[in-house]
Amino acid sequence: MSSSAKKQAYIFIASKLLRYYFHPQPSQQMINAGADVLRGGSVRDFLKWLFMHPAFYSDEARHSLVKSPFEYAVGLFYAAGKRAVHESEPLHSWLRSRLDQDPYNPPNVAGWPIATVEWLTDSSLLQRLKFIDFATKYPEGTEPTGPVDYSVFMDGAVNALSLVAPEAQLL
Amino acid sequence: MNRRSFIKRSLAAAAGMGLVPSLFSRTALAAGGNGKILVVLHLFGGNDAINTVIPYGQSEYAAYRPDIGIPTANVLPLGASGVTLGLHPALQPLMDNFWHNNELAIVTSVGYPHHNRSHFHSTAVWNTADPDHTNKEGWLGPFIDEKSDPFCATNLGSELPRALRGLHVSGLSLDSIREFDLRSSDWEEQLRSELLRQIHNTRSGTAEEVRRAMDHMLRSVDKVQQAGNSAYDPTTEFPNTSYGRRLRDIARLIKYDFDSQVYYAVFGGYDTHSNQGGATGTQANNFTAFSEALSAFRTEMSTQQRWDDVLVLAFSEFGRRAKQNASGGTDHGRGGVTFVAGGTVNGGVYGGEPQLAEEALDGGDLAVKTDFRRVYADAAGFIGANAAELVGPGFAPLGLV
Repeated sequence: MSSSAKKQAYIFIASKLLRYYFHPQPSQQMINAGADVLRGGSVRDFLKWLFMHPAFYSDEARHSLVKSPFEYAVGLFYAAGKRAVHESEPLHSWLRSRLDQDPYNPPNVAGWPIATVEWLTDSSLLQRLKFIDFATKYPEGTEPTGPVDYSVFMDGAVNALSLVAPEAQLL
Repeated sequence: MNRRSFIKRSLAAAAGMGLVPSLFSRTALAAGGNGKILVVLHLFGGNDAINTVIPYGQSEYAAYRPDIGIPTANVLPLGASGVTLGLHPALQPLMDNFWHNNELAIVTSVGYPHHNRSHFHSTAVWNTADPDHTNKEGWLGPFIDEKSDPFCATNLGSELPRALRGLHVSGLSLDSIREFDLRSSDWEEQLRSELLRQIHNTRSGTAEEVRRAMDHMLRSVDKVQQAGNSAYDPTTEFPNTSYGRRLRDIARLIKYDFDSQVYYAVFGGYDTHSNQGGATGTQANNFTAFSEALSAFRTEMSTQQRWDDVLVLAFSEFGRRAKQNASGGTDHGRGGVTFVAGGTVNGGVYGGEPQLAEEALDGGDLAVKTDFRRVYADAAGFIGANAAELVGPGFAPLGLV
């Protein structure tokens, strides 16, 4: 493999990682810088570089990634103070048949969409909103096993109703 | 992407952003369609083909199935030339309303090469129309991508079948018209009014994309709920069964002139390993519910003067073994049977009589003689899609329609 082909491979992987962790359209500058980090080290070095980068904490990067159904569902359970799924709560069936992500069973070899609005079809968005009621209610005889704090799920959220804002869908 | 699909996609995007008056966008988006409607019904579980369309003239039939065979006296003979086949007695409504009107095509010994006995693998094969690459978009995906409109194909059920997944756009899935709404509880009412209050606060970046997606969803919900208006109540009475309710919802959407050219629904209960029954029993009950609902659907479509615009394709992912098992049932096999019905269908039996002699079987299963993709090719042509693009080259339509 020529060295320019190798360079393309680092750029390709850096771009994928940035779209997954950072921004749907990372700048060429960030991609090139990330590719250099990858070339000189490992994925671990790359992530360390990214998570300590000022751009990672910029306003532009905030709320730029769409939560996958799994991130959405588990994140909301956590914010509702649920540290475990009660046996009477069909979380897996919600994920598989309504929220449109069957864990461990990607739709094709390309995997799931990377953090984009592709996730948000009419029916899956509708189900995400319906899911709020399911996730923030407690099955009879149970109570939260952790602090209830919706602001960990969405900045500024004070209650379950706050989560109708678009930001609740974003990381 | 060609020019036509680019224009359509741009229109769809503009419509999504509310830049185009809805009447215009609806007409423009529908311009590519030919007004024909495909209704796909998946009878999940592997319907036993030779107790559905019975080769009652072959001595092996009764010999293979001492407990579950349909007595010749109960069989409804098709009287088709060159074959001795008859329908299961519970399919009497199909006989009366479809077969006798020359509106029922029966495709026998249908299946795919390199058969797999798993329900899920076989379902994936039928859903993708590609036995070698089942982990990809659905066979109707390119059609949906081309239209670039999720309304162009609608599943009635909780889970969107892979058949309606495109690379870029997937079909719509609704459990029922009633439930595709944000008003089914006080809490949802509250959530909806909060959403309506906030939806016009524009944002930037991804948050703005999400806001637009939410706005689009609210419009879709309104649109589907309009179809729920009593003005679009079907005038025909449908049986209160899962078949009846689904087909009634489909008939209602057609009456509303919803944009879908494809409707899809999956029904279970065909995995009859035990207590399959014969002239009565599990399979017979399925058939009664299926054929009564389908007859009501036909009546309603005729009333709406749309029956000539509709093609119903009912398939199962595989057939079952020739011989009954020790539990009064049958196990997973190969060759199956597919029904195609509609006002413009060329009624008849396609594929002849399944051969039951030991040497004609494929390891104890009914042999596959017709690739299911040829049936799909007919269906694709009906809705004006490019059959070769949907099912691959080399699958000539059977001329069912």
